[in-house]
Parts: sequence; C-alpha cells; structure tokens
Amino acid sequence: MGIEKYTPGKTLTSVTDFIINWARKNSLWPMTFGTACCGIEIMSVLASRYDIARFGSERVSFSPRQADLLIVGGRVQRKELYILKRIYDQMSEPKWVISMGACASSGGIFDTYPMIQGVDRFIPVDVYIPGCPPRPEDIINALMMLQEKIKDESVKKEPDRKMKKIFDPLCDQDPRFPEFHK
Amino acid sequence: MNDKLEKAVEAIDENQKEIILKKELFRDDYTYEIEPSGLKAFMMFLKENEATAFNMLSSVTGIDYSKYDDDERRFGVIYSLISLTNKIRLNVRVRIPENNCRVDSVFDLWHSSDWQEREIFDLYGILFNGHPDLRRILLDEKDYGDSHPLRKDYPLKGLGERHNPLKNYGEDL
Amino acid sequence: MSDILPPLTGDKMEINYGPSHPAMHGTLHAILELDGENIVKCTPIIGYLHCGFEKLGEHRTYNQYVTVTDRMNYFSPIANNIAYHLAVEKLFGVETTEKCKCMRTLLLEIARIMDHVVQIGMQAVDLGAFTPFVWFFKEREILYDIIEELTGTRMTTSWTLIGGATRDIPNKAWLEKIRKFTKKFPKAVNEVEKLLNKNRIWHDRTLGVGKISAADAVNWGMTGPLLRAAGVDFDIRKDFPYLIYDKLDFDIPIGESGDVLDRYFVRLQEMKESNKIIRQCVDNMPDGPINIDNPKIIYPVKDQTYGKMEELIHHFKLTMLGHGPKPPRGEVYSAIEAPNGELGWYIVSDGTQYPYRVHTRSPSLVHFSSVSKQVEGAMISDLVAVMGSLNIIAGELDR
Repeated sequence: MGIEKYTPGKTLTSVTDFIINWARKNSLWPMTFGTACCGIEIMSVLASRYDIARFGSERVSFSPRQADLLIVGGRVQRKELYILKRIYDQMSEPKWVISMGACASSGGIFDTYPMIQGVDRFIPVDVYIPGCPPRPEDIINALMMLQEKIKDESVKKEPDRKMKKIFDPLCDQDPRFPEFHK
Repeated sequence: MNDKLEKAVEAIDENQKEIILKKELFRDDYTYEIEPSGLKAFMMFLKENEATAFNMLSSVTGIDYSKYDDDERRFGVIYSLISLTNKIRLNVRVRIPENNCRVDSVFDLWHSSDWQEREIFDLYGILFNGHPDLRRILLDEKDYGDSHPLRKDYPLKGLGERHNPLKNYGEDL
Repeated sequence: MSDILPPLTGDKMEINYGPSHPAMHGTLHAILELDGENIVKCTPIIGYLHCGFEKLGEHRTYNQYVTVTDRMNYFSPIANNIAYHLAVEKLFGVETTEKCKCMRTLLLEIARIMDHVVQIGMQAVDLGAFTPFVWFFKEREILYDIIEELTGTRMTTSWTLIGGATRDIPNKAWLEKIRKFTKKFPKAVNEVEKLLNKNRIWHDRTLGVGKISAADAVNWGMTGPLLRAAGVDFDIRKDFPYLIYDKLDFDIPIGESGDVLDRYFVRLQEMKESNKIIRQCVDNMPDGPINIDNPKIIYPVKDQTYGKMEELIHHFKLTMLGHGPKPPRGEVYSAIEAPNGELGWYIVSDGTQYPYRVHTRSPSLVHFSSVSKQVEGAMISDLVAVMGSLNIIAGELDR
C-alpha cells in the first residue's frame, strides 16, 4: 500500500492493520465472471432473497479496474482462459479470487479435450466452493470465510499468491503415453 | 396429417426414382438415402413441389460411421426438413467416402444451414462446395490445426491441447 | 483478431463487443465495424464455452447422459431433460403412463415461465430498467422452491428416466402450492406490464428495431417466439402434438412485424397462456404409478429389490458399470417446443448401451447466425436491444 516507505523498519502496525482490514473486508466489490450455470446462482445471490449487498458488495462492477474480488463461476475452456488471465492481470492490488463450483475448481464432470481441469493452475485462488451449482447460501458462506482470511492480513507482508503446478501427473494423463488414454 | 405424408412420399417416389438408393420407415418417420451428386436437384424438388413444400431446414447432422458398419463410405450428413404448410417432417441422408469428403452446400436454398455446416466442417473435416464462408467455428485454428475431434479415432481427453493454452499469451499485449 | 477480417478502408473503426461485457449474456463475442455510431458489419465469434458435450455422449449410457443435458439451457433445465428422454423413448419404442405425461406437461410449462421471466428481466436491465428484474426474480424463487420439493435441487434437476421419472409427487400439498401460485402470478405480470407496456422510453428503444419479415424468418430457421412475432403461425405443440397438448385448451399469440417490441408482447402473452395450462394440468392430474412396468428398462420398486431375487438381478443389470438398457439399431430425430424455440435431438444407436451419436439441434445456434442481418445500418444501442430479445444462451450455443 505504500505505507512501508513512511515507517522505519521495526514499526508495529497492529492498529493500522485492524483499521485497513476492517475497511477492505466490509466493502468487497465483486466482478462476476459467470460463464455458465453458476452464473445463474450468482444472479440469485444479487437479487432480493439472498442479498449480497448487506455484506458490503453493493456495487457489482463489470470493469476489472474498479473491482477487488473476482468470482469465477462456471466452466472455463481453453479459449476463455486467455480472457480470464487478461482480466485478472487488469485488476489492481489488493485482489482476491473465489473459485465457484466444481468446474472452476477441478474440471467438474467435463473431463474432455477443451476443458481446463481447474482454474487454480493459472490464477491464484483464495476460496473454493464445491457444488454443482452451489446454493446461494454457500456463496455467502464463502464470502464470510474470505472476510476471516482478510482479517489476518498485514500491510507489511506481501500477499500469498500460490498457484498449483501446471502439469499434475495424478490428474492429467501424460500426452506422451497415449495408451493410458481411454 | 398422416395422409399428407403419404402423398408427399408418393410424389417423391414417382419423380426422383433415379437418385434414391434406400427408403426407410422407422418409428413413423421416413428417411431417404440418396447419391451425393444429385443432392442439390433433390433438395430443390423438395422445396418447390406442392405436395412436399419443405420450406424450413431444421437441422444438419454429421456422423462418422466407421464403427457402425463395414461400408467404405465413412461419413454421413443428415438433413431434417419441416414443411410449415403441410405439417410434415422428413429426413434425407447422404454418405460420402473418406478420400473425397465433399458435399454440395444447401446455403442458397435455406440460410439456416450456414453455421451448422461450418460446425460439421470444424468437428469432422467434411468440406461443403459453395458455402460462402467455410471456417472453423467452435475451435481455434492455431492450436487444433488438422485434428477434428468428433471422429472416432480422436480420444475423449484430447491429444494434449488443453495442457498449455497460454503459450501465446503476452505476444499482442 | 484482425487476421480473419480484411483491412479497413476509410474512416471506419473496429471494436470488440467482447466476451466479457455487462450487456452480453454469457460468453459471446462480436467484432463490429463502425462508421460513427452506425454498424456497417457485425461478425459474431462463438466457441468460448465449447465443452465437448457430443463427444461425452458417446461414453455415457442413456440414463447417465441426462445429467449433461441439464447444463445446456440453464434457465429452464427441466425442459432439456424432458426433450432428451422423449427422443430416447421414441428410439426404444416405449410409451409412458398417463400420470407421467401430465407431470411432464406441467413441468414443461413451469420451465417456460421460468425462462421468459428471466429473459424479460435481463432485457429490461440491458435497456436501463432494473425494477422488473427484481420483481420477476421473486416469482422465480417461488418456482425454485416448488421444483426443489419435487427433485431435490434448484437447478440441475436430472429428473427424468427412460419410461418414467426418478421421483413421484411428494404429497397433496405440493399441488396446492402450484394452484396458489397460478392465482397470484397474473397479478405479478400485471405490475410489470404497468411499468413497461406504455412506457415512452421502452417504445423508443424497441419499436422498429431488428425487424425481420416472415419469409426471411423461415429462411433463416427461426422457431419459437421469434417466428411467431414475425407473423408465422407455427407451434410444435399444436402442429406435431406430443404429451397431452392435444387435449388442453390454450391459444397461441402471433405478432405482426417481428421487431423487438412484438417479441416482448408475444413472450408476455405466452406466460399467461402457460399459467392457464398449469391450472388445467393440476385440476386433472390422474392417479396411478408414474413409471411403466417394464423391468428391462426402468427400475423396479425399491422395497421389492431387497426381497426378491429377480428384481435384484434386474436392478443390477440396469445400474452397474458395463450394463444398461439396450435399444434396437436405428436413427431418430425428435423435437419439442422449448421456451427458446425448437429443441431437438438426433440419436443414432448401434445396439449397445452407449449411444453411437447424440446431436443436439439447439435453437440459439440457428438464431445467432441471423443477427448480422438484423442490425446492419442500425446503431450500437439497437444491437444491445436485439441481442437481449434473441435470448442466446451460451451453454446451448456452444455445447
């Protein structure tokens, strides 16, 4: 955030952390990247019965430059991954990602030629939601888990962005040995 | 409604005897199998004759018959037609061999075959003569190249195209 | 993306009406060539959600594939299940019981209301009116509750089987809930009508936009509300009747000019007719079993499976890996009137328990190909109105 320039090395930032994290977690503006069926449950969460605006996500932004939470809901194909990576790179820090549904987390029921088996090989993910599609209450639960995670962050530490290895020998068949394909 | 279908079938049997190879009746639906060279003339007859008057093309399907029977004509294209005036349906099938997979396009008669023929070209590799814009529609030209996924010798999990999709990322940024 | 189009001449601008856009319903992409604010050429690009459904169909049995059909048109998933199993039952040559036909008709009309409700809501949001979206979603949540009592989930239901269904009606109170809904629903539609029907802004944005003549609509393969708004009297429920539609009493709304305002009125009227059909189905629901009595195709009753040997063998032969119901060799095509248009399946079987080829005739693919004809010469804001009225659903378009 730039505050490290103005404080000498051994400052304690506990009160600053508390205030900054409180402000960030209660005003997460989502950018909904809903491609398929999970997009309909995102629409239900934004409507009047399961209202996500009471948690601070009042303004749903469709431009990545003005959002800080990216909800990836729905199946991601290899042509679409290019677009998703561009949108993730266009968002400015601080940013968090929720991977919603079975297809975005691990490929879901589609283990076929164009499908990406899990978005977390290319984009760091903070919270995973299982389900096909997950109920709107699950999405609110995930938002609250993310708020707990933000409470423990600190201004002095770099954010933890871990991605899985691109090629995972347990999940993917090695293309060099086609006799194991079915 | 059934007698209109019988009249249409009689009209087709009388006038187009030369190019019909087979006529099948399965679950109350008629399917005609014809020679690929006479496709355009047959379709024009079906559209303009009064007894048949098929003015809408509902769907075009491609099939790879290599594991179905031992015929050397590997691919098939099936047209499903509807007549809005006579309220009848009909299917027409052509079979083409692998070394010469070209069929005439019916874009001039019914524009609804535009994207469906492109999809068959993309997923099977069958070429359509006379189509205005025959390109791949669902898959990427650069990464899939020559492979046509719905053929029977292409595996379900692919030949490795999904493992490295971002190799061209960053070139045009 | 400019390597697929010829280079521009003159003062024209090329923009991406891109895959991630607030007014685009799903992952659709169009490259627009603009002269000021008018569109000179529009080139759609699809394929961003292609998951290989048809290839997957060759490796799943007939009863397992219905879970994949849920994910095609995700606004009204029960309609896809019913359409797929009608095609499979035509291939097998079985007829379902009277109660099953009445239930399937009831659920198809509920799916039609769900689809039209979202379509009108999203189209209003595109053009700036947020209130109909929120009011209509309240009705949709009541229907979600009704479907959840019957099938167990809100959206991906997979409710049908060959020759019947997975679950029967839970209790008498379920039919009472539907009857109460049919009484309140016309009032909700009335409230939205008061907002939009005589609204000056709505008329300015939608009257005369995206006009298409009847002959062109038939040539480009349009079906469903789009074809009826252009003036052609064709509805598969009346012309090729299936289930119990030939015994029910309902009308079909037909428009005149085929523009966006006519499509809105046709869909609004169709919702009211669906309400009438639901009321008739609920009042005349027959008694009896919902599954047919053929143990080679559908499961026997559960408590007999655990007691008798033959029923256990039949249950085994239907469920275990490598076994399943086997149809005769042949090819069929069967289509129904889905909320979007004509939804059909072409199924080829070679005698084993896996289909040889499963092809979906999706209405969105055929409708989207005609969008370039409807917007040439119009402005960009007209393109937004036309795209909303076509109701393109990306899951069905790319499969």
